[in-house]
Amino acid sequence: MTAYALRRLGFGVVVVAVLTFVTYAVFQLIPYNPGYIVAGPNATPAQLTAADHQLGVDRTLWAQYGSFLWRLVHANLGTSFTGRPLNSVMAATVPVTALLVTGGMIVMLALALPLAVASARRAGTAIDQAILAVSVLGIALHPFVVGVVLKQIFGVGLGILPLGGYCPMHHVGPPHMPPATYLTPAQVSADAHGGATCLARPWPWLWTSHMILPWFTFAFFFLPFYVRMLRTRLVESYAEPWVTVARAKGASELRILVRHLLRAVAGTTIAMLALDIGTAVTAAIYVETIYSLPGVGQLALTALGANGLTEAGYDLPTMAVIVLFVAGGIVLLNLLADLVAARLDPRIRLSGSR
Amino acid sequence: MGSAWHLLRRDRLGLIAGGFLVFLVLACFAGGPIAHAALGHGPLQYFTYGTNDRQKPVGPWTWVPNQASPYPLPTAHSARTLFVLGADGPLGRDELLELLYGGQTTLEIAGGATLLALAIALVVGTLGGFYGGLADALASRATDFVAAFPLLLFVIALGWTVAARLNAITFGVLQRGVVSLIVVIGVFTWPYPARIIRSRVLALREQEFVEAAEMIGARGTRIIRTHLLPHLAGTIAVYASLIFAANVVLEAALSMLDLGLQQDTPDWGAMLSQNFGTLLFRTQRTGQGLDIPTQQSVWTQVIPATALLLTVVAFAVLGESIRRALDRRDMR
Repeated sequence: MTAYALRRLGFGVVVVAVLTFVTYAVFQLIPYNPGYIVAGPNATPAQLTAADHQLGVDRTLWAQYGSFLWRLVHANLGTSFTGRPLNSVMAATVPVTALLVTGGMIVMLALALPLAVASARRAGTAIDQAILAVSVLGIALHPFVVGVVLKQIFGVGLGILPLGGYCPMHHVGPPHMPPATYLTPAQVSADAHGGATCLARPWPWLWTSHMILPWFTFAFFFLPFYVRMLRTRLVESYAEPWVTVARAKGASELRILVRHLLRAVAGTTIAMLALDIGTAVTAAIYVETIYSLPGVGQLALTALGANGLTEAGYDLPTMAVIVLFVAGGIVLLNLLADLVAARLDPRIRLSGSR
Repeated sequence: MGSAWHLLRRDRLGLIAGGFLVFLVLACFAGGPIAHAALGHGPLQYFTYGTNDRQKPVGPWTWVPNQASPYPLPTAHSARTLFVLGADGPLGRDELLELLYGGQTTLEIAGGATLLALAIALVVGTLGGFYGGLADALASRATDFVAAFPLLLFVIALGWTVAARLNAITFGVLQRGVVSLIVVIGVFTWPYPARIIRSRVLALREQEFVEAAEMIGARGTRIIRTHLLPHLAGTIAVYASLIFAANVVLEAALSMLDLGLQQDTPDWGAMLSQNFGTLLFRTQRTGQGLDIPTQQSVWTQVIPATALLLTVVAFAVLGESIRRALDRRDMR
């Protein structure tokens, strides 16, 4: 098992290296001059050359990528083109996205399991059909639409949850917001609504209240797929002989569900979660945009100047570090999922696969 | 295929979905220009009086004074033009015409990207599945590689470069920027169908008719073309409709993240995003902070969202129906 894990890790390192290199290579193809970020839009050619030299983009691709790797070895992620130290930028943004994805997946499973059980126990009945029909609708609903509706109901209508922004744990002060000049209308609205509350209450509630709507929006993105998958697996499992045996021995339905069926579906669920990690980052970008959470997705959009508010740019050091974290996270979590699946199901043999 | 078609025709839900999609295509590509001619104004024309004095767009079925400038002030006798679904936002453009013309671009992008993704998937899947060995190892690795990584991040990171080069290509009929979105979406959505096609080819390879064809000396390309492709057609049809649905959503999402088409090309995502979040201003109750003078209409959110929803559901239902028809045919 250790040998298998090491082999997978080695392959993962290669993948991450290739991807970060691609990020650097793509940058060379863009008709864009990062010198303008430092020297300003009205820079003279001489100022631009100096700025390019200062940023290090006048060197060859290999030299730039080499120094990226060299910095990595020293646990230094470098500095963005805009002059921000990336170590602290990532320390601030990665936890937001990680907590969003983790919490969102937990909420999703907590919703999916009861629905799937209800559906599978009464397979073919009206309840089952209704749950399936709603799940088709759910697939078609975009997180942007879900987000706007949830904000309207809980933020504006009931006024019990903030409309956006983020209060880090152990944080006293106004919610974390981008600089005022870059606020989107939704963010202005969110700030007006929740700005004062970040000071007033203890942090566990503040943090949670800012995460509840993002978690649910994130959960709805994946919910239909998991309800359908879990339902199919549960229907199959209910027909298995060992369920009949357990029933014959007098086990209660709850015990059968918890002791036997959950174990049976856990493997598939974990495998599916592992496959969805890439998609989860995509969903996180949507959700962070809706609720103006300062996570990795927002960072990526800003680094690419794709928020429509700044001139299009391409902050290479930031992008490379984001790719590094996302790709690294995916490799590690996939490996973890495979190891857990092997633990749960003794039939899976790791050494032979891949 | 013949009997599957027969079964599909008896599937009422599938028929409704298919009928809706035919209607949608006709409405967008033929109905758009017809409505344009009948109403007498275009999808991108501004009307000052398409909004009230607090910039709230007019509701459905409103006769709007037919003038772009605020003066001369309209009277009861000034020329008016009909906004069937109301206006689209602060700019006071016609929501219905934007919906129809936006549908054209959305369908073009989603359709083109689906074709591209399926073409790549077909090549990668059949070559990998049929030839096995090194070809399969390479194809599978490439598939895993593209599939495992967050699509959107790559669309943003690479799309930007690709887009700059492809934006000008229009083939004379498409809108500016459509081709680049087709390429960007298509290039990142092929892994899923590629896996399905590969596993189908792996199963088909073991069948007697392939063995027989090999026995009489048919070349690999000939076997793929004349023996495997007809059997893959059903699977491809199912995944085409599912991917189409996903691409419609993805295109709208890209527009909402400002990664989509240019400003004055109508499309559904842009229609949603131009009012994205603005529902909130309507009932802003806090006295503190910014005073926002605009009023918003619910219609401008509901109409494009419903169009997206119906289209995606129709494609998803159609895909399921084709799958069910194929399953039932195989069971016979």
